[in-house]
Amino acid sequence: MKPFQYLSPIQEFEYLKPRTLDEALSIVSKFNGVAKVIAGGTDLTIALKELLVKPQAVVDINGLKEIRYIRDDGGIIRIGALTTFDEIYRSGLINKYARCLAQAAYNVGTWQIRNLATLGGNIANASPAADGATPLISLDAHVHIKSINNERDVPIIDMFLGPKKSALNSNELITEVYFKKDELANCGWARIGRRNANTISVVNVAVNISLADGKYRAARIGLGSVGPTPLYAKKASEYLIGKEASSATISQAAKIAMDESNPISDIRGTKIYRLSMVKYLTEKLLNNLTYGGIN
Amino acid sequence: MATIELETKSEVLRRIDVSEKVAGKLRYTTDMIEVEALYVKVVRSAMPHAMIESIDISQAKETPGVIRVITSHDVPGENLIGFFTRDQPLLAEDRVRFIGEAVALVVAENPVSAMTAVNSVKISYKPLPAILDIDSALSPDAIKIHEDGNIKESFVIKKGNVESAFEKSDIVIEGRYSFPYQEHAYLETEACLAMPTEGGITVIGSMQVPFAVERAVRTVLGNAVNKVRVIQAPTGGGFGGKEDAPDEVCAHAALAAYLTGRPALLAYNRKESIIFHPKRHPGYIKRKLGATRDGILTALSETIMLDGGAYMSLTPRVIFQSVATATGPYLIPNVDIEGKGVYTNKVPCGAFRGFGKPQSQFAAELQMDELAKELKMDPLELRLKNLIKEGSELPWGQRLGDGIGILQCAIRVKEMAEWEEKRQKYGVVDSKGIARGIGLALAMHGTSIGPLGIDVGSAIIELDENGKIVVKNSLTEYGQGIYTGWIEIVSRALNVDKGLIEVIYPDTSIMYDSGPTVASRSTAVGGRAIYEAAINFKSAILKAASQMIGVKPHRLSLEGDSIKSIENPNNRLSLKDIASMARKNGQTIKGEAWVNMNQGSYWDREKGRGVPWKSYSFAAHVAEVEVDINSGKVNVVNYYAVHDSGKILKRSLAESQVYGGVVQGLGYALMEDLHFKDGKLLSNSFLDYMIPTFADTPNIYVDFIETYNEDGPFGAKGLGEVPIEPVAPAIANAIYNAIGKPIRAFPFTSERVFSALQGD
Ligand SMILES: Cc1cc2nc3c(=O)[nH]c(=O)nc-3n(C[C@H](O)[C@H](O)[C@H](O)COP(=O)(O)OP(=O)(O)OC[C@H]3O[C@@H](n4cnc5c(N)ncnc54)[C@H](O)[C@@H]3O)c2cc1C
Repeated sequence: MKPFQYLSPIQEFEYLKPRTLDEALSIVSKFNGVAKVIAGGTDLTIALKELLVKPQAVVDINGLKEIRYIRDDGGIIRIGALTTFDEIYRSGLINKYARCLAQAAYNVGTWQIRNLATLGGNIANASPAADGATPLISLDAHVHIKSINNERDVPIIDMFLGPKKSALNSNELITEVYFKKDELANCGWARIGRRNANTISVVNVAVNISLADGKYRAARIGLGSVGPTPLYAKKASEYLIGKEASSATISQAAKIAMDESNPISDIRGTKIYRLSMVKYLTEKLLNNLTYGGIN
Repeated sequence: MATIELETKSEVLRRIDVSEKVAGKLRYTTDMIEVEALYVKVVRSAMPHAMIESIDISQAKETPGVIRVITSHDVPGENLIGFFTRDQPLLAEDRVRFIGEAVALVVAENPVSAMTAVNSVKISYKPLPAILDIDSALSPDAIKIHEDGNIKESFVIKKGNVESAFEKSDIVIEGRYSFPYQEHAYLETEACLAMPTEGGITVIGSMQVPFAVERAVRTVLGNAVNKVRVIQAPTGGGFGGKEDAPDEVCAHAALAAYLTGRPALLAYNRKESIIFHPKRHPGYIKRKLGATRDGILTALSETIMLDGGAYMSLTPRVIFQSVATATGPYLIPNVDIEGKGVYTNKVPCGAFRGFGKPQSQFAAELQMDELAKELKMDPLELRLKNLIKEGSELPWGQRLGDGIGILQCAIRVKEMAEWEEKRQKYGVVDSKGIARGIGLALAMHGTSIGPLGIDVGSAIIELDENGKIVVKNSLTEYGQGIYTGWIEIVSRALNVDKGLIEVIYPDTSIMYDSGPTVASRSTAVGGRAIYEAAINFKSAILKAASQMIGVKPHRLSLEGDSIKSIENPNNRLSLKDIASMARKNGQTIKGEAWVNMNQGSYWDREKGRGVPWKSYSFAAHVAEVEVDINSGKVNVVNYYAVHDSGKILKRSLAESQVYGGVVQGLGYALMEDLHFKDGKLLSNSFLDYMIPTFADTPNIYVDFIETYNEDGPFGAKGLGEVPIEPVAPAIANAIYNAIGKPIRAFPFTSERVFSALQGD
């Protein structure tokens, strides 16, 4: 009896499963660009099947327990790159200090996808629609990257160079994402999708603010699916800082965020609709975070 | 026909096919490769419309692992397929008419070689102008996609004088309504395994109509083979999509098996499936409806235009059904309805649950609400004023008999949904920007195929060697649960244990052609043939047992697992004993039956008159929505569906048909559509072709009004399709109620509703 072969071609490649980070780093360095790292595999498997990538080796990093954690490191929240969206959404720490990230995590794909998909993979994949990106932008997160003889820290926004193009070199791995714990800050995330679950965002927005004496002490707005990369709405964010909270201010900030975004029209939505939704979601999140209420 | 006590309460039912499916044990076509099968891959047209100048297969042939590359020259029989009209080349010869059309086949030892070879077949094209929408197809200087022009088929129904009736009408509503494609999105994509046999070919595959596949394979192989045997494999969904698509898939596989002399498997991945198989027709309807000030309908003039894509597929029948249901279940004294199916250079459109009716009923039902608003009348009241009833004359001259449950459906759904209360309350925007709305739609659906096609059913029931009662019927199970229903029918007709009854998958070598498994006919027609075969089987087995037991047949009773003397119950034989005695005697015990549903139905095309169906199913649906007016997002919160499908044989099976239809209709209404760019289908995966998830599914409340249908088994009518038909208009009307204006095109994506709210 002939074993059934899947009807799409399955590529042949070497499969390697390192047990430590160092081992993994030396493997990717040795393969010098012709290996692909696999974490949850929810993006990579599709690319392999569609022959979009043709690696000589696939390096399975799921054995690297050392980069799978969520911890409070005295003032800094650290998330290992291999942490799944399911773990993120269930984490008390994340729900307390980065609710926008928990909300986004809960909306990624389906249960099955969330059980596999990792935060590191979401960043490395560099999709302009990545739901993990906007919350991290609003949290001013940094990404810790390692190679066999180097390590660096990159602000999350600098990770994204273009659609599906990240700042990672082929010999590097993301090991961690971290951001400052801010007891006074409050963040939220929202999206427009084409159905209620398991859908690529037509627009997603994350807003993180902290208020002192009725004024915005800090504000960061992240926008997704409205440009070639996830965007930091710098002007809108800076516009808020120091201003008295009011619905006029909120409305103006949302309008600036809309002007800062640069969406295209595609089958998921037109440019015009996306622009309107950036404004709507930003305004709604700002209102909810400023005046309370649910989002 | 006998009436047998029916089960009407909701019960937990165990479908006979369910445990294998849930455990993943059921073997579908692609699980069946025990033999060394070759892999077939299709080389497809990259152009929407072009002449083929040359096909160079030299490099593909040399690809390691490739056994053969096949083009139209290799077809031994006729190079044509098509469900009713053979107008589509099995493999394109000199011209291609849509992106995705089959041009050549690669047969290889493994899928990777096959894929590689597919990419190295070089086709050189001379492009022709591509016609990508209905209006360009109809333009006088448009290129003809087929020799006889760009109109596939048209139907007309006329009654009275619409012109003068419109003049006398107090109110006339006029509009253009448009509707999208719908993809079947069945779980299992198309698959077929073909195996050469001595002098013939055996084909096993995922399909709805095994005898159509047999005819297709015979046509393309011609005299090259004697025996063609088609077996339906367990099939993971159809919804009409596997009515004609398997003809092509199996003919390709059979051709590959014939030419290589080896078993050949052709199975599509999702992308191929979406690109290739016929879809629900998109298009538009221009509709003008007149009424008096009291809300009595006076006249309807309507033009239905369906985009049928590059080949005929089932378009003629679909158009017919759009035209025949254009009025909705309402009496309109003057009508002038015309429907046309048009060729374009896109994927063909064919059969899909509802079959032309979801389109025409969308226009009809939304326009009814527009009229109601104009009249300042409750939409339900307007409908009740014009509703057909027993004895009414339909626009084609047919007088309705008994069993018209539409009024009761409407009244029941009104109570269930608390219609009046909600209708009063809704239509305002709350502080969170949410507008609630409630909407209603009715539907009417002829049972079975009707006079345009052969509508006969057949069944064989026999006792096998081990005392099992074997049911043979070529109608196919592809997820509906019909085997469970049939076993119910046989067990009630014979009064035997359900465990002794077995239904076998269709096999054209041992069954009669029971017609296609379409048109909601598996219970109404197939079930009736089975019922009658069971009655014949009963006489046969009583007669045989009478000789064995030595008691006259009418003094015997069949019960449970045995036959016994009524006078002396100890004088008995089990079915098992009867079977082994019959075997020794060289006796067969069987019952056969044919039922002819064409009897008493006819259609006169010229006059647009006749009796297209003998019985009709009805439905009344109510949808309740919440519209986020800031984003246009529509959530369907509650959904109520009441159906008259005659007597219900199995309540839980019937309920699940309604749930499925409502959810599929909800996808059609809210999110499903195909997007093309220059004839190329962009939404070719589930990343971009959205279907509803549980998170999109409302609470669904179902009830039945049980009328009695003379022609069905135990009084049943069809139910498979009608649940999808009122869904889009019910949702459209609920949105209309919520936001105060009608949206005459769907799907109601957030963006579409948002722009309607912005005023464009
Ligand atoms: C059905 C479905 C639904 C989805 N829904 C969503 C959604 O709603 N929102 C959303 O944002 N995404 C969604 N995705 C995309 C995907 O699940 C996410 O992007 C996910 O986070 C990818 O993580 P992964 O671990 O599976 O990555 P993988 O597929 O394993 O890898 C993705 C890429 O990242 C690289 N990579 C992975 N880990 C590392 C690392 N530590 N260091 C360096 N490079 C690395 C890989 O080499 C590869 O190039 C969906 C995918 C599917 C199939």
